[in-house]
Amino acid sequence: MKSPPSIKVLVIDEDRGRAALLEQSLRDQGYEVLARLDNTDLLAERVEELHPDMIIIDLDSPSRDVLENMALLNDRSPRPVVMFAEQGDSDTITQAIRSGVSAYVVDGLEYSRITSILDAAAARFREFQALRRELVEARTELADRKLIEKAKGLVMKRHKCPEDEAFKAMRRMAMDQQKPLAEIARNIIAVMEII
Amino acid sequence: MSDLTLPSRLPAPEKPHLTLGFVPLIDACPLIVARELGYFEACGLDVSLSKEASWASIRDKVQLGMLDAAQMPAGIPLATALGLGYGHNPMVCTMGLGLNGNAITLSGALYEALQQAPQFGTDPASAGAALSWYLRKNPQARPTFATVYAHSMHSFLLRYWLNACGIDPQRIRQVVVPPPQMVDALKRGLIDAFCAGEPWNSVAQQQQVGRVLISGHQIWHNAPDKVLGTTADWANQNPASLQLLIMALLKACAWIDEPANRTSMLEILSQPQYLGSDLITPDPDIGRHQFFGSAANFPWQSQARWLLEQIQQSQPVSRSSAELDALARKTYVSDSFRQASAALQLNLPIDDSKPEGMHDSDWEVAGQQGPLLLPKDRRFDTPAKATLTEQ
Repeated sequence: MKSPPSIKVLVIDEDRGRAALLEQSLRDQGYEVLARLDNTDLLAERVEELHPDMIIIDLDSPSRDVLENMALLNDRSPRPVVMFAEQGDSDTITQAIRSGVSAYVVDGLEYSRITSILDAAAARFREFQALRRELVEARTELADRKLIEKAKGLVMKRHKCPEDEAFKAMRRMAMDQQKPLAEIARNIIAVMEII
Repeated sequence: MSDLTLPSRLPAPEKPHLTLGFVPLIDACPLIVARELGYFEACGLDVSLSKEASWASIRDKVQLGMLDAAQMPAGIPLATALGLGYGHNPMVCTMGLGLNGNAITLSGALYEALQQAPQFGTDPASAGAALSWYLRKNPQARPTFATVYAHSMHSFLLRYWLNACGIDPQRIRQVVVPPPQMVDALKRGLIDAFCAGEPWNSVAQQQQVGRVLISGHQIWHNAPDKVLGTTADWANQNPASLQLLIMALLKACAWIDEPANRTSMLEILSQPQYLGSDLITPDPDIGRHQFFGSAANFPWQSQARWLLEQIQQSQPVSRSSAELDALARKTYVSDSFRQASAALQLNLPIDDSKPEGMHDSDWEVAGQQGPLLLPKDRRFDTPAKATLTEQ
């Protein structure tokens, strides 16, 4: 997507990972990203110093009231602000634009440019959510595998049996009780640790 | 008074499952108490409360339908009506959630500097004279005063106090700081003073980070503060849900105002999903919250008008008096409140407006079931009016 590279963007998000991805995405499209801020202490000063054309800020950021006050007091050109949503559904942003919640981004900027930035933000945000979900799943899988290994070790020790027999016994238990192997492992560990 | 009886027959809510937004402040307690004491449930509503990080987020989520209604500064629905809310979806104030609750707290250094003034005192006039003296003596100084939101009573009361004391509001630098960062900002010298709702003034004082100079109630006795806001569309589509919501909240407000319930109320607020235990030792004299009664709960047109004028001060274009009247009528709606109050057998004012800011003691307006007693409401710079019987 080609966009005029003249728009200077400031990204404010307490979620560093998400902000980094968003920044990359904006850069890829030729926008100039002035800074990514997550520490919002001296926000008013930083905004005055950086002079962004546009600020992308999380809908749920506590700093939103700070920026709105600045826009109200600054009679020159209010710095436009956009938010993207913590709420997973991507419709929120589209809906926000349509209902005018983020209409103030239009001040001094062409609407089509804003939508392309928002589209990019929304797409990046969705990707990030997916990534985070995958990460959680991967972590759970890893944790499950560790649990199973531990339970297997306990069974081997207690019944003095080889590894494959211990694993087979656990798998049979899982099938009989119709429970995931990780849960069976957790139960075994809990019981064995009491004994 | 604390036991308002619900009518035996309640209307069926169009929407029984509701999500209401709040910001963790003492004055969020009507919503929290109504949920914790089962008043919403008793009214046939299943209510979830959503803790929000900013007033902008509350406003936008109400606009987008992510929240059904919310606690919000009285100025939000009106600023939206003036086209300042960024969202175009008209909003309404359906009831008041309480009076008072704010104070102006100074850093130790600024407080001590003001104490040097010959006129120093902790009433609004003397405190203003002291600040004025300090600014004259230090012509280069431009102390930073933080509030929590542009269109909230904190900002309006602060500006009103400065103007009434002959101080040009431009002599201070006004910024917004999110309430949870306020005390820390004062401690680190990022700001010199703040005007915020409780418990933040009490917290600053208890941590010896700042000292309360004056309370909001000294500037304007029993000033309006937070309201229950939603969109006009939501209110029109869910009249029964709204009426039930108001009934549950009125019951909660009445319960909170019973002095015997104060400890229980603070215990409820101290739960981690609400304010948490660090924030619940407010000095009641700083806040002087008042949650129940016609003065606190009725959506008065006369207050909408005053607030619109305050909001307009930050705007380059002024609207005519007739235009402001129309906006106030559209935004402060009393029909649902009247129905809910009638169902609870509460007396209601005949008029939607009342004289504001001039009564030095209790006074009366005409009510549907006889005179309605209202508490004093004088603003500190207004000549007091000999009271009782206004009509």
